[in-house]
Amino acid sequence: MESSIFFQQVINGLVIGSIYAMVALGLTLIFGILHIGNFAHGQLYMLGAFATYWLVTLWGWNIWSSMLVAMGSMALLGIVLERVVFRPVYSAPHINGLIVALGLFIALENIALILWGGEERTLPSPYATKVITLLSISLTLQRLLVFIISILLIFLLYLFIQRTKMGKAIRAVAQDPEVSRLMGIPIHRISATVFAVSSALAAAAGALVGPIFCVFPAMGVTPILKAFVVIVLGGMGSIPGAIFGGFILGIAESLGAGYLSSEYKDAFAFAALILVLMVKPSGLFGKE
Amino acid sequence: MKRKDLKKWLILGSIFIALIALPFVLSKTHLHLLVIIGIHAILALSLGLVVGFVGQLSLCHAGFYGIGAYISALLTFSHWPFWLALPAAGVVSGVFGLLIGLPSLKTRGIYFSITTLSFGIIMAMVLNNWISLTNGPDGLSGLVSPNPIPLFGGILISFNNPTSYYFLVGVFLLGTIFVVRRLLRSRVGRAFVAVRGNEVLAESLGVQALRYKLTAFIIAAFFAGIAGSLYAHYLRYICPRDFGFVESFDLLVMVVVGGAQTILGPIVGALFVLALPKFFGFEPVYGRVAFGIILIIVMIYMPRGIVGTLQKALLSSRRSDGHP
Repeated sequence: MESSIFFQQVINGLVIGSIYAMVALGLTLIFGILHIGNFAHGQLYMLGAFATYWLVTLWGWNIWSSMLVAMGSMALLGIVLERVVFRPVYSAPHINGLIVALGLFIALENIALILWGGEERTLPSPYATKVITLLSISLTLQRLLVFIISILLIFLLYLFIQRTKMGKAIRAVAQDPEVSRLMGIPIHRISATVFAVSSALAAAAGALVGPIFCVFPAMGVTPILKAFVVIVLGGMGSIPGAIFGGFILGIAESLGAGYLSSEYKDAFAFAALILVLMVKPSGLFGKE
Repeated sequence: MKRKDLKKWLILGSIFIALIALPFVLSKTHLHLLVIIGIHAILALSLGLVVGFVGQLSLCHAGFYGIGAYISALLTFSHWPFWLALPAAGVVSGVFGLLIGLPSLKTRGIYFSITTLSFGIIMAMVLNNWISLTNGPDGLSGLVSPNPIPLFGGILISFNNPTSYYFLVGVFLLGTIFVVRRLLRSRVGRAFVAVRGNEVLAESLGVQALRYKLTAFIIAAFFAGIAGSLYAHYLRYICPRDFGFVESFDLLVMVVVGGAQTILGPIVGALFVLALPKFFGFEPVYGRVAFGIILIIVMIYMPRGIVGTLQKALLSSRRSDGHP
């Protein structure tokens, strides 16, 4: 029976890990291009969850079309934020970018609080109550879908970055913005694209967890902090680092909560980060 | 030259007199706000040492602040007088500064920020979960006010009211300003700036960067501990919420928005961050929204912070007057 508990925790970890991976992937893309630690990224996750929630509950839309619309609208919001808020501080010291992101983080969360109040809502989903049991491991269909859809989205993003011309340009700018500009790559269009893609991914993550956890204005805080841990562990700007880091963190946390202490569950990530950086100051996959 | 000095002292003197007169004209609520601003000015000023002068973006300052507050509270619970608990709080926070700074400062840039953020989150989590010591999320209440100081002729100054606490915090703030100023004008301070400018170059000139970064980090932690003790015995109630990462963010905002790399900046920043939401005072949520948006606007239009930008404007206007 011991081993079935173990596998149950691993499965739970994979589900949480896929959420971390999706948020971390956007964060690392933005960092790769702009070198800004975008703390406001978690709020797009929150707003994506709320957008899906209102489309489902008010207009009675199906959850998938709601999620797609939420992703589209967050992509637009991402483009607007890049243009209005982040572009003016590109040439300023990085610390200014961080403060701008913090300002956005504070403003967006409190706007959500004013609009919708602080109560925790559950996104209704037809898959939340269906339980699948397989070899003594049971999970809801919703959790399985979270895992499958996030793997699919991550895969699509990976193809986009690796196989398309735009993806190639993004990688070039991340490597060397100056030379890329000289080669005629439109830097502003690249950063707008990165913000759009990252925000859509965060919105998808928010919409997917809505039925499992709750939808509320502060829901973006924990995922963004964990995503920072993930991208630092994986090496800033590294795409495989963010994906694998997300899953590893999800599994480690889930096992830690099951076997060690659930009170300090949230501390594991941060303690692991400190330990890793003490041994390797540039992260697991980082280049020195 | 002489006249300019006279003018400077006149201005400083009148500010000083105004600050002394202030508690006798302000209402109790405003005075309370001023005490809180003073405590945060000490915090921001000390964080400014790390952020502004050695260029390390630390995100765990509220942790040291919390350690100071809890150490001081617990020591006075076991019958230490406040006047001993206060320096002890500073020293213990300083020791934590050493323990946390040593591993963290080996990392750079955003890695350093996220490492310190992690330490800050863990410190707040321990305060929250070590219930036998800290009483957990409910916090500690019933703290003592600082012991009264006997003055000549048997008069006692007691610190159980905002007016006398205003002066107490004021004295500590002046002390912090004095220490930071002296430090920055010393050899150590010049080494700080060299490390910020170009670490590799500084190292090549024989400045041991890690040692100076650590020095700044420990001194900052020490002052944060002092501020924690002052805060704890003013409100006489503390809880872990006050010392979480959000507080660390707010302190960082004070430093950068006020103007990192200046001494006045963090103090102005503390005033700005804490007083501003009161202007939008109808409800704290609206204040926070306004605060977030103003933060963005200030950073876009005043990239050196309020004081840094004003200083630069003042300098260039003087130049155009023909007085270099």
